[in-house]
Amino acid sequence: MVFSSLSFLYLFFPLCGLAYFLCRNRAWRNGVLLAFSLVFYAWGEPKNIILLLLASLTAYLCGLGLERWKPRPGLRRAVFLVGVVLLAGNLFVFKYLNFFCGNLGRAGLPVSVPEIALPIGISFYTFQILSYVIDLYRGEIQVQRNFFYLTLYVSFFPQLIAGPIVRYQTIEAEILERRESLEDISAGLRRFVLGLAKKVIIADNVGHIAEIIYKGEAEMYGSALYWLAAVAYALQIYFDFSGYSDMAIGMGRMFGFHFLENFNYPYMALSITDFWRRWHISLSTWFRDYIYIPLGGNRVKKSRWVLNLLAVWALTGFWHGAQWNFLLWGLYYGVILLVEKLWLGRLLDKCPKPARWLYAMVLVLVGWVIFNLTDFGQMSGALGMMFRFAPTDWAKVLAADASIVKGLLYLPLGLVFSAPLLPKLRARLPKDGWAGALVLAGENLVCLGLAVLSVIYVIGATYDFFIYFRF
Amino acid sequence: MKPFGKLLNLCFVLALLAFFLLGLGKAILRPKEVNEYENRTASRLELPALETVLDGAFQAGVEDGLSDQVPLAQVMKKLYNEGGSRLVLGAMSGFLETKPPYYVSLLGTKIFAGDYLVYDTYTMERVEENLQKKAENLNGQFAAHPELDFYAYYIEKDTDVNLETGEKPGIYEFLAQTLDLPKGHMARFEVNGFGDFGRDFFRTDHHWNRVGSYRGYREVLSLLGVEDEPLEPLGEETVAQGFSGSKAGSAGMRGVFTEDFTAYRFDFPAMEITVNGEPAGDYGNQEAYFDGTAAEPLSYGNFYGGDFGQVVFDTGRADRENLLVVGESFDNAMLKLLASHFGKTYSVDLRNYERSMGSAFAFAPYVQQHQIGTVLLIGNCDYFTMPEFRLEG
Repeated sequence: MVFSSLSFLYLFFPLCGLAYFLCRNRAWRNGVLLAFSLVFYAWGEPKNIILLLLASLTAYLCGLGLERWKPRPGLRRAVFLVGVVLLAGNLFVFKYLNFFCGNLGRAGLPVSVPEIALPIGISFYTFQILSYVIDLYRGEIQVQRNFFYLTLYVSFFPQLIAGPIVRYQTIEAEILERRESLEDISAGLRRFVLGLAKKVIIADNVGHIAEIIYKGEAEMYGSALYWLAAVAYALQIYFDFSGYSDMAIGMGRMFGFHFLENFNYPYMALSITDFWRRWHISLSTWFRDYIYIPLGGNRVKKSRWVLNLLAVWALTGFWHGAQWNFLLWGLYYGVILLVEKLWLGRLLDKCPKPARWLYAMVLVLVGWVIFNLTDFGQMSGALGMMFRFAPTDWAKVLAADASIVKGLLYLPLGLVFSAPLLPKLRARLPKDGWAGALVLAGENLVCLGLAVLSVIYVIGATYDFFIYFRF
Repeated sequence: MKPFGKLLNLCFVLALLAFFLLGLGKAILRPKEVNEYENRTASRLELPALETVLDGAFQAGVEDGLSDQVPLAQVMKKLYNEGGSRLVLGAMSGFLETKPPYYVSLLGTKIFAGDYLVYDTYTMERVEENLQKKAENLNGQFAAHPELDFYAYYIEKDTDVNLETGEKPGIYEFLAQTLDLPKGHMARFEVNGFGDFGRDFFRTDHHWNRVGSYRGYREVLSLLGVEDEPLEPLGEETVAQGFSGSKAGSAGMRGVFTEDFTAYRFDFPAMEITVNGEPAGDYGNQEAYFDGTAAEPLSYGNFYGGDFGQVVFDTGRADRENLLVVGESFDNAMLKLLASHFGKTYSVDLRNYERSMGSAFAFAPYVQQHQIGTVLLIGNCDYFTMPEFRLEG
C-alpha cells in the first residue's frame, strides 16, 4: 500500500486513526499500530510479511543474546556478528543475489540466476533493524524485551516502505512514553497533506518530462531538452521522496512519534558536501555512523581514508538498487566528495554563492542522469547530449508526445517549492494572538484545499473510459 | 490564541476525518451501479476472501471500487481530465491551430490535423490471427447455408490507413482473399487518406458521420443489388454544437474537443420497430433531436439508435425480401435507411444478443424462423477481429 493510494487515504488511514484514538491504554494503542502496520505491509505483499517478522525475530533474539551475555564479550561479539550476518545476508539474498548471479553468468561462469522478487521496503527495514542491533551492541540503547514492540519499531507503517530510516534510539522512549496532543495531530496532518500534494501534484506530473524524453529518439530532443529532462527528474525524485518523508514524519507525529528530518532543501546546496547534508539525511548519517566511522573515519592514513570514503559511497550507491549504474552513481559522489574535501572545498568557499550553487546543481543533475538510466548506452548518450550542442526539433517533439507540455506546466511549481519559501514565509507570520489564529485558520484551510486537490489528482488518474459499453 | 488554536485544530482534524470517512461510508453503503462518466459498470467494494487477498485481487478491487464510489468521484475525474486537457491544449493552441498534417500524441491519445482525435493504424501482425479465426467462423456458415446470400461490407476507418503517409496494412485485402464469398458479394467503405477520413468521420467520435454513413448506405444498397432508388436526404441540420464523442470521452477530453453534430433528415417510410422483442416507437431519436425535445444527452447511439441485441424493422411489404444484418455500431446510422428497401430487416448485435434476448444467438434456426434470404455482415476491423462478434459454430 502506498500513502497516495485511495485504499490508504479512505480506508486504512482514517480507520487506523479512529481505532488508535479510541483506545485509552498505551499498550492497546501500540497494539493497534502494530496490527495496522502488519496489514499495511501485507496489503501489497501478503507473503513477504513472514520475512519481515523473521527479520524482527532475528533482531529480537540477537538483542536478548547481547543483553544476556554482556559479561562474556567473546560470546557477545559472536552473537552480534551472527545477527548482523543474518540480517545483511537476508538483504543480500533478496536484493542482490539475482544481480550477482546474473553478472557471474554473463562472465561465463556456470551460475544459474535465481528468480527472487524484491520484497518492498527491505532495504529500509533491514537498515533500521541493523541500527538496533549495532546500537545495542555498542551499549547506546536498552534492549527491547517485548517482541511486539520491537516489531512495531521495525514495521511501523509511516516509515516502513520508503523511510526515513528511523533509528531505534530516536523512538526508543516514545514507544512506551509519548504524548499525543491535538496540536501534534493537526500539525502532523498538515505535514501529511503537504507531502501528499508534493507527491501527487508536483512529482507525478513533472515526472512525465523525463519519461517522455528518455524514451524518445535522442537526436530529436536536443541538448536543451536533455538538460530539462535532468531537471525534471531531479524535481520528480525530490518531491516524490521528500513528499513520502513528509507524510511519514507527519503521520509519526500524529501518533506521538518524532522522527528526524530527512531532507533540508537539497537543491539549495552550495557544494556536493552540502548537498549530502541535505539529501536523504537518514541514509547518509546511517552510513556515516555505522560504516564510515567504524572504518576509522578520517582518523586514518590518507590512502586508507580515500579507500574508506569510496567504499562507503559505493555501498551508498548500491543500497539504492542492484544495478551497476547505482554503483557508479555512488562512486561518482565519492570521488566528488573526495575532491571537495582535499582541495576544491576551500576554493569553492572563495567563490560567489551563485557560482557555488551552479557548480553543485550541474553535478547533482549529472548524478541524477546516472541514477535514472540503468542502460549505460542510453546514459552515455544522454550525458553526451547535455554536453554538446544539438538543436531541438520542437515540432517533432510535440508530435512525438505533446504530453510533455503538461509536465512543463508543473515545472515552475517544482522549481519554486524546492526553495525554502514556505518556512521563510511562516517565520514572518505572527504566531500569537488573533493574528496567529488567523494564520492558523489560513494554514488549515489551505491544507484542506490541498487534501481535496490531491484526492482529485489521485482519483482523476484512475480514469478508465469504456468505449464499447454504450453510446 | 490558545483556545482558538485548539478549536481551529479540532475543526481541521474533524473535517479531514469526515471527508475520508464519509467517502468510505458512501462507497460501502450506497454504491453506484453505473459509472456514467466513464461509460461502464461501476466497480464496487467486495468482501475479501483468502484467495483474493493472497493474489492481490481484493486489494486492487478496493482501489478500483473507491475510485468509482467515493462521493463526487466522477466530478473529480471530470475536473482532473478536462482541467488538465484544457490547460495543456491552451498551452499548445498556437501549435495545433497550424493544423499539423501529422499525428500528435497527447495525454494518451492522438490528434491529427489539429483537431481530429484519431487511432493508431493497425498492423497486420496485430490483427491477422483474429481475422483468420473470423474468416474460418464465417466460412463455416457460408458452407452450411448455401441457400442464403451472404454479403460482407468492411468499413475502413483511421485504423486502416496511416493518415500521414496513406499506407494501409491491407486488412480488407486479407479478408477478401480469405472469405469464401462469391465475386461481388464483398465490398468496402474505402478510406485512403485524410481527405476521405476528414470528410466521412466525426472529429471526436469513432464513428462515421452523416456523409460517411450515407455513402456507406448507398454502397451497401449497390452491394446487395437493391434496385430501388436510395432515400435522398431532405436536407442537413446541425443538431448540436459542442458535441464531444466517444474518442473525446476515452481521452478524458469531453467538452474539450468538440464539434458540430450535423445530420441529414430523411423521410423514412412507415415501419413497425421492435427492440429486443418489445415494440418500440422508433429506433434512435432523430426527430426528437431535430426538434430539440430529446431528453438523453446527444451521442451517436442516442441519435441513430443503440447497440441492441436485436432490432426488427417491419415495413409491412410482404413482397420484399427479409434481410438479416449482423453488425455493430457503425450500422446504427444506416439501419432505418436500409430497412426501407426490405420487408423485414433484422439487426443483430452479437455482443448484446444473449443478454437482451435471454438465449444465445443460433444462426440456423434464426434464419429459418424469420425467412431470411440475405445476410449482411457489416462492420469495421474490430467487428472482424473481436471474438464477441463471431457466430456460433
